[in-house]
Amino acid sequence: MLNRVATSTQTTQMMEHLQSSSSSLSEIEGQVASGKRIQQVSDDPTSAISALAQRAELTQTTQYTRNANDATDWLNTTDSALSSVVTALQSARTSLVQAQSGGLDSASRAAIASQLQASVQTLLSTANTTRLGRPIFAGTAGVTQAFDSSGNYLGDSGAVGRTVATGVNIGVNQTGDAVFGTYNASDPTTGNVFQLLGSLANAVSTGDTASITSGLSKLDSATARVENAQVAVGSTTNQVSGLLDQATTATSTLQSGINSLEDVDIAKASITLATRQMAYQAALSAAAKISQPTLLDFLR
Amino acid sequence: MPSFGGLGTALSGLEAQQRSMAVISQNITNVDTDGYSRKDVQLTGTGNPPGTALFSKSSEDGQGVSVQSVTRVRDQFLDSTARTAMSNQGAADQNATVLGQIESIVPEPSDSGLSSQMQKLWSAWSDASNSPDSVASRTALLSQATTVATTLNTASASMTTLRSGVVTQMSSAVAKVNSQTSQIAKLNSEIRTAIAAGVDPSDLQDQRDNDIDALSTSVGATTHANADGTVDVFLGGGTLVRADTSSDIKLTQSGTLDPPLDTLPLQKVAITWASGGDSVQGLGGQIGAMVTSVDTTIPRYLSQLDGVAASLVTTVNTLHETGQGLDPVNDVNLDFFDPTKTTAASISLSTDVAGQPSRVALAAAGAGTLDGSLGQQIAALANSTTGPDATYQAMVGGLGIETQSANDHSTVQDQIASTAQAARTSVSGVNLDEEMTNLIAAQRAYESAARLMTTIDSTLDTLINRTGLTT
Repeated sequence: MLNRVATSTQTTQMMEHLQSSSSSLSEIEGQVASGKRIQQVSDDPTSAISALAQRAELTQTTQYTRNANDATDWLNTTDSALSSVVTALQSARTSLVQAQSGGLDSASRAAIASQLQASVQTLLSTANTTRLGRPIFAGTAGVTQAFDSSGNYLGDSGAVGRTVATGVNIGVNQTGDAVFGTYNASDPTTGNVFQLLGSLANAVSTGDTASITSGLSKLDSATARVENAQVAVGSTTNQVSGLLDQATTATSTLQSGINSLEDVDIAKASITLATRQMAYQAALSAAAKISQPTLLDFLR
Repeated sequence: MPSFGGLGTALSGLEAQQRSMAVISQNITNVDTDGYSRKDVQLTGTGNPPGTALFSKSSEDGQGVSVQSVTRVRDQFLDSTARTAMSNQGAADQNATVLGQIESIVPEPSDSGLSSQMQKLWSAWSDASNSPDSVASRTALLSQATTVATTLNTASASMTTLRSGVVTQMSSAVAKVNSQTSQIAKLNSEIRTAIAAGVDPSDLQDQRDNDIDALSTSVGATTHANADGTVDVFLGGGTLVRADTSSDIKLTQSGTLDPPLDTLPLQKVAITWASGGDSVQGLGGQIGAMVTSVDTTIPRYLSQLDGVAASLVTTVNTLHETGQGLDPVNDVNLDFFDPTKTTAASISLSTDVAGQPSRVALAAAGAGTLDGSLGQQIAALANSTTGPDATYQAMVGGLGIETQSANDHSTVQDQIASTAQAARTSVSGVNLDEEMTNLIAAQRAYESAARLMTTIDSTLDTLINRTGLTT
């Protein structure tokens, strides 16, 4: 406590108080204008460090969402291709049963045979479905088609993966030989489904009922194989969908977490701003009052 | 019995009060002068001189008033307390300023800061891995990697520039210290001469005190007053000023920094005595804080930034070398970042992949051409607790905490210095009301002495001109 106050001390202290009041006023003005409570880490280190980690997580979760959407698209494309394959195989089966029953003349048999050949071509083109210029059944091979015109598999058995959550990489593709069967050059009837249908078409046109009968059970296994693939695609789609939901929820949680850490509470800040403005004005008027009278004013 | 002695008494009163008013007017005109110490007049009654000569007789009641001394009001203890506080304030403010500047070089949290750029890099790896056949994704990946490298380059360059800026500031501060010490030495010599000659050296002493205050803020000097009126100024164990000689200090840059920062291409800055070359011990104040900034603080953060760059280069390259680009024969064992450039200032894309997006290894070696598993592994580095993101976040967090603490420390030191200076000024500062009151007293005393002289004059007049005359 000073017992004696020099005249210059009055001025110095008044300036210091005005400076401090003015700087806390400009600090709150900066917060309100930018909407951010934390302009740099030193404003509130613990919150800022936490916000940095959450921002990183948010970017990753957004990426997982993007990957999951891409995966879903791939799976949906695969699923509709497989559906049309199953439909085609079922209608081929119907034609074959018709041919098996016997009592058909060669003209009808020839008609059924050419129908079967046509469905082989349709199946081949479905098996070569592409998505964004890339065949979906070719695995990770860099080819333009999964199967060539004679049914040879041109792809590989690689998995196309999508990272949809931390440490979770899901394979979203079905490889051509796993779905349609392995190509067998020497024995077409035990080869893939294109070879099988091709040889069945021949059997129908020649009237080889025995081959047709054994071929039918092979066709059933081939159809079952495609249907299994479809089931696998379906369950993967569900898995991805669940993880996508999680990612979406996580995104909004993280975003609101970041906002609560970094953003200024406008209501609270506005009140603080008004309070500090008042304090500054009070300091100014106090300074004006103190510096006015000296003894000189009162002497004759 | 009236005598001429009374006139002498009255005259002494007039002279003393005139001197008093002169001193008061000096105080009043200097009310706003920085560092001015007010002067106080001590009056004393003049008694009879002892041991008179035979047969002489002087007045029994005293011979008036005289000015015993005009003292400069200054408290040495408050001075040294204020100087210590100013030295600490100088150091704390300088430290906080530099840390604030380092923080502005790595602004976080931000959507365009390095943390965000690195996260976007991992996303770009993920996008490219999802479609390895897309040249556009690969190109975007290379572009984002270049952005990260450039951000690191710029941050490192800015820190180096900041350091050079502080070194430049230091050399001009050192030059100023040298000119102040030689000024103090000169003033010492003048003050000693003035005291010996009986001349009032107050203004010279005030100037010297101001110079010493500035030295305290700059380097944290301490003082010792000598009997002959000179002041010695010490710094650490050495002497800046001894009586009328001063010793210069100089700034030297040589050798490497102390370990573990000796790997940085920076020279250690030290303050040494110009004669002898020993380094100055116990350096405080602003220059002391600047030495810490350039030799420890800034290099430490530069080194941490280098650590982030090195971690990025190593973790990505280690995985990348195990992968293959679109050409499984030729695009193997490639580096993504240049492995010879692992500092923040130099990090850049390797010539293996720069401008050649098809050579970026997204596929695992031996897998299909359009495999993306390796790229996805690299993208997963975003989660690594030992990877570049974690290193960078730790660095920025540490910097934020250190800066906040320095700001708080600086605020406290400002207040301490302000209080210490107010205490000092309360003793030696001029208070106008006090001076005006003293002026009134002196004025009235002068009037009384003048009145006294008139009265004695009239009694003498009565005695001389009217006693015993008949007409």
